[in-house]
Amino acid sequence: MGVFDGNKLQGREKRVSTLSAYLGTAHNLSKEDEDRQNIRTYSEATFDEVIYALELLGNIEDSIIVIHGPSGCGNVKLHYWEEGSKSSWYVTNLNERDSILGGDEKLREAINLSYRKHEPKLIFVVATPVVAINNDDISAVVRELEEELDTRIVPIFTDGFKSKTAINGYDVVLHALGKYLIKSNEKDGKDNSLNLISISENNKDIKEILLLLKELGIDTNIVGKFSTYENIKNAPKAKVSVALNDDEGYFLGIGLEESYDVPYIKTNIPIGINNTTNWIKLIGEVFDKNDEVKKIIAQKTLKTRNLIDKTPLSGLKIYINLKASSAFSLITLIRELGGEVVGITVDEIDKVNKKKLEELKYDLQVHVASGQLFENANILSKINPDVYIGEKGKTAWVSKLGIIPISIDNITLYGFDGGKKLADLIDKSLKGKEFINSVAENHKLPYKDTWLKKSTNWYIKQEVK
Amino acid sequence: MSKVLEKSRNSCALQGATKTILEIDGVIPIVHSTAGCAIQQTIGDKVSGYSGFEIPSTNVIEKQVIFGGGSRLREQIKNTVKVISGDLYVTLSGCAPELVGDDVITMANEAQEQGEPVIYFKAPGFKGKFHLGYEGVVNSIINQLPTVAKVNTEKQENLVNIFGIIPGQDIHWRGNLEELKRILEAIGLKVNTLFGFGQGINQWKKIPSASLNLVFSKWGISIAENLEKKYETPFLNFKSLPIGAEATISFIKSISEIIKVDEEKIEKFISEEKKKEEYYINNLLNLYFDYNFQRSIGIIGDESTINGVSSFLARTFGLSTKVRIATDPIQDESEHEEANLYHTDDVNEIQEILRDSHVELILGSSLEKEISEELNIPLQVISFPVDKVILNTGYLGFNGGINLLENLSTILLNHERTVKQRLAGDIKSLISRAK
Repeated sequence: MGVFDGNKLQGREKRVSTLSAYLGTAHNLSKEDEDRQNIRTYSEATFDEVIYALELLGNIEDSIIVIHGPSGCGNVKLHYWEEGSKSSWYVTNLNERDSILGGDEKLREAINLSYRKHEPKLIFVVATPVVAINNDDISAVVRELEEELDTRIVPIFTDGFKSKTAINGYDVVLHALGKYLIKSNEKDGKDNSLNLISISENNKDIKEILLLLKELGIDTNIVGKFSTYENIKNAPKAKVSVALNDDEGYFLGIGLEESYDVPYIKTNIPIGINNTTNWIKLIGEVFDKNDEVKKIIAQKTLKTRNLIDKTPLSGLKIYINLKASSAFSLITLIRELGGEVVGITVDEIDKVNKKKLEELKYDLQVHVASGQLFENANILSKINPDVYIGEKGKTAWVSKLGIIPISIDNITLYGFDGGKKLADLIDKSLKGKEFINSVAENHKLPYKDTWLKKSTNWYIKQEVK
Repeated sequence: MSKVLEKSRNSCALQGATKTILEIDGVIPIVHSTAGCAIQQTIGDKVSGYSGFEIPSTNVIEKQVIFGGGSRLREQIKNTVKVISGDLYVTLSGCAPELVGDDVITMANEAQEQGEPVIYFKAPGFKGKFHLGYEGVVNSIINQLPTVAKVNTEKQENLVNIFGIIPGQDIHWRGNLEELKRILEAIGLKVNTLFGFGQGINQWKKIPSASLNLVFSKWGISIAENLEKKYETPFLNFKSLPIGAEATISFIKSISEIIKVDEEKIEKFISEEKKKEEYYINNLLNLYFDYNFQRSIGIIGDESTINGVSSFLARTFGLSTKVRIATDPIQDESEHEEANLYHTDDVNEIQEILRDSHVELILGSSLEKEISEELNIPLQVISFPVDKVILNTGYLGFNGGINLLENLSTILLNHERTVKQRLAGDIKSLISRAK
């Protein structure tokens, strides 16, 4: 069965053995039995597949989202809207009666309303736990209305509980794009473009990479964030696909390769000089742009050599808590800048990214967790790093331990200049260390000391099947 | 009836209950639901001591949806009290566990029997909106706190509780509560604001000993009624926020009819505050008339806020409200109809009402930005959701009125200046075309 076939996608655990709870060395984790699943007997709130699906869909142009569920399931859209996602959204606003008797009628109404007001090219219908439990027949409504209305209606089957990892939400969306929107007749008339699959990257990072590709003279077809229906439809025509973050985009890349013979190039995220150099070399080769690549590399290395010679991060112990592929690439950058990575937390490890573990120092401590700040607090109080690099919402709190938080969602890390920006930010934070010290002095974490002294993996257990 | 909504702003009961609890110091929510439920709310809550990722949550998965999640909740409660220090833990169940029928009550009771301060509130999102979460969880704490802690029931003559100002939903809740405290303390009372700075379980234990409850929106009424039944505490229902000197003075007077206060002290305080408001209005007069502040208003938000703001602007600042749109849910279908008052939280309907009513100024949420741009009229954000950072600016009371005028004047001034610039652009292009 092809990647894009099947009505509903299985959970990521079943497809690529995704592990979302672990503590151990990089070496041991890379050797871990693929069938093993861990669970937590104490856990903290984190993203789920519904949120990730809404995030990605909200960044597809000319589209509207219809969330089929109670109104709280769409609340996160208020946040993404304020952050710049301009697509409107509807919620079927299911109440108790609907949760028992079904909400098909409301779904029909929501799709109709959204079509009449916005006439979008795409309407995405996002499922939620309530409709998954009630087995509302979304497909039937979608099929029926697609015949009536002059638009594409795409069902997104996110249950909210099918997988332990939110990244499954990206897979569900990419599966739906592949299944419903990408058609084989578009394969004809191949062009010489690059499918750039972007999912969760921040705008600064995406711009940085687009500028590089422009400099190389490569025609880019963006798929995912910022893409239009046309971009998605044209994906089979491209020469190759590359995902900015392989963990997030591989599903579409592999699907395009299998079904439409568009080779998928697996890369490391272009963070740091080495990774960025390798990244553009790989792509330059495919598009026969070796000379241009050489020129850019020569220019950029000249500029960055000064920074590297200064080893601005030397003497600093750094902890990283990021999505797996970002963390792996960032480790290289930190080393380039002379810092020492003393441990990492990554969202999930699976067949997609497991190989990269072998490139790490074999005894580097790897903690697998999305959120779960209690385990991070436990680790940090034992390792006591100088700097902690993490995502929005999961980072500022370390200041209460006197550790410098570096939140990466609003800085450019990708490309040749990422190192300078990171080093600058760390330098400015070091200069403002008194502020962090006073935060640490005046604020306590909510965690009990008895917990912080226990072993970090106390609440991680092997799942009994 | 619950309708399909475009750009819904009222979230759900679980998220309302979670936010409500997070704003009481030392009270910890234990969310029993799918992983994203708590994050759906907290991720947009920019001004908070919490990011959301530290909220205990069972993150139920397929297995627990099929076979029940009771035992998952049991182990989560047991472990939460070991990991997180708290004075009180409130288990909140969301949609999936409630549909499956997990026995949340038994799980909370089990922990109680072991001497842990764990209570519960069933908060599935399909039951209601953010406001219902506030109302429900506050009542749950009031009802269940005595089973896990000793509450103080001895009446204290000058102590009052405040209800109906919903953390997060009232975007100025911190400032509003602080101003209420300032005013009530100035007339010799003690105040349990119950949320925000310095408000923890000790204040909640003293709720029964208050001699009067003050209610500032319909979302506090059932709470006050509950307390009246339980502890014979009378309550005053103000229906809307007292904003500015006139409303605040009548608010103070109505309290003084129930609680004995030093009349002389009150008079002195009131007259001072009133003069202050007049002083600041005097400082705005040139702006007001030079930039033609007289405009008709469309106002959107929770009922108690829009009523407070519109009556203040009408009586004190000469701006009349053309249309009010209450976005909080209707509690009972027979809620009285009033002229020019609509009830809806659908952005499309709100936009249509505003388009039809020819208003010249919008006071609403950041979701009204689109329509204000379309109609090319200024927007002041006074209700949720919000696009600015608000710490303790309030719109309630004496200071609140001044703050409101300060913000409003800035917005009107900037709008007029933008119009002027745009006109300059138009003129230049006319001139160049004439050449």
